[in-house]
Amino acid sequence: MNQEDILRALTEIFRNVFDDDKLILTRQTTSNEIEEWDSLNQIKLILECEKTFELRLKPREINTLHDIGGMVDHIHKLIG
Amino acid sequence: MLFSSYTFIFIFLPLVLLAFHSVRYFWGGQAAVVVSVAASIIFYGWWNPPYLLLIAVSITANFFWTQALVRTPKKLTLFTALVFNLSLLGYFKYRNFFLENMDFFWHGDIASFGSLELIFIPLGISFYTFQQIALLIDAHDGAVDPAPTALEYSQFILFFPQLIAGPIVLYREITHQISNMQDNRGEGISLLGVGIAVFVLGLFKKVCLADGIAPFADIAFSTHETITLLEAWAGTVSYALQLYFDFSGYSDMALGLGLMFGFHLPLNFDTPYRACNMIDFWKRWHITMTRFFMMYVYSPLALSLSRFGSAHFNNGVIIFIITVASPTLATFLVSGLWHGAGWTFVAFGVVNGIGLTFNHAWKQMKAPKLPFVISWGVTMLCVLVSFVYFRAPSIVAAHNMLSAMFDPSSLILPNWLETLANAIGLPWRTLNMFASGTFAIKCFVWIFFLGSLSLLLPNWAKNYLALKPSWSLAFTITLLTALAIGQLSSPQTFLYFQF
Repeated sequence: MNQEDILRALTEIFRNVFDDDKLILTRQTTSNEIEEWDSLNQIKLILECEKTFELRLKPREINTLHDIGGMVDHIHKLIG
Repeated sequence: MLFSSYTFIFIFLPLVLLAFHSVRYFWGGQAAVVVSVAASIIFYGWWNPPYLLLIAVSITANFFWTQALVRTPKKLTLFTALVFNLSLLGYFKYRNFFLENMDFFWHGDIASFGSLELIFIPLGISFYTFQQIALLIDAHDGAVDPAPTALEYSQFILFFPQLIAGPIVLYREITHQISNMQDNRGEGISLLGVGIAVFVLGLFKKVCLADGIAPFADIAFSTHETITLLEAWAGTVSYALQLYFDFSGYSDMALGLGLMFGFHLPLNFDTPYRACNMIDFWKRWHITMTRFFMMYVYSPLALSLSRFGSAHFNNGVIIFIITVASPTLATFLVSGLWHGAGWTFVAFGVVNGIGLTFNHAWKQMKAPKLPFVISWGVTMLCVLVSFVYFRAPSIVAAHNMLSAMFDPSSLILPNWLETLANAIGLPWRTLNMFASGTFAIKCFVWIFFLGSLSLLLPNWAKNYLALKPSWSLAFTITLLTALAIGQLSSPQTFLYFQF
């Protein structure tokens, strides 16, 4: 899975979690730009990512990422 | 030495700024950081020199643990370090609370647990302990590389603008700034002007606004036994405004001071009274504390419980209780206790935890969005109820206030409104807080004025880089400075210093 595939998969996950079919993610998107991003939705995102990419994420790892690009790179690194 | 005292503003700060920037110019950034650390030690020791020993022990031990965790992230090292930090905090902050409760539950047999002693809580212990705990966990996670030097570590913990009452800074957001400063790449004196502007705004918020409305809150909470509906609401709203302008004023001052030395500290307040739900409120109120609890308490707990809940249960309500309600309530319970050792603080945490749980449930059920005025009103109601517990000297006092606020029979008008009371058939008497009409009118003017400011005032601390030199800004800053300096003769301590 390359980084573009990961970004596409993440977009689907985000659309489900935030219940917004029109949500568009770019590598530059940050949590501040998504109004509904809160601690609970972040947990849901982690769980959905774990299911989709078959990996284990630590919540603090996600907190240290600055934007979606960072998340894509992090997942890419974990799934090899 | 309060930020809002003559000694700090006219002696300590100018001398330290002069020394810091001169040393930086002539001897470089590393020497300037040494000046900053030395000044911070003097600042902290000013209150109670013996507590310098305590903070020195805490910093030394944590520094070596951090080094060890960066080299080899062992669970045992992290566990030992966390036990040390929490024990230190527990002894100084919670020992007497624990003994008093043992005394209550074991009917006076307190001698078997220990004796109550007068313990002064070391200033800022909750804040510097949390910063160090966050760094230890990050080091264990492998998120700290390279390990801080002794000077970098001391600057991170001791930097006086944030030492006493936050903001709670994460190492990752300050490390590159310290490195830049040491390598002479920092922003240095270029941020001095904007730092002064943000500091002055904070000073004005504290000494003119928060201290101005404080007497109305004080009298309401001190007369809780006989308080009536109007007085209880006026006192509670006054306290909410006092707390906001006091703590956001302090946070602005801290941010401004950081900028004067070339450091960007994180934002702590973002117009919280504009929030129209509890989730939004906690994204805007004491932001760095909320972030700490979300990162190091809520998220690990909620994630573990979510994995467990979704694997073992199918019932939506049970899953919600396990995965959302429990971690939210647990986190706010801890947050309440962090604020102070007392049942009132526990209740403060519980009320907020319940408010957030309802908010999450509402979203989870995809219930319709309420009109802004209703959602804002409900949010503020929850916040005000929690602040009653936060301010009240005891649970009984808090309940006296709350029953006066919500019991229609407490609606008693003051004697100077006797004619109106008789006309509309309401009881009247001489009230403690509103004994005079002038005092009552002053109180409502203060509430209206500060309430409007809390909703309308632009957040300079958030957009400080957008502040550009102009005549209007210069005039505003000069005016605010003059007004604030006029009030410095009777500086009140900051509410958050007790935590």
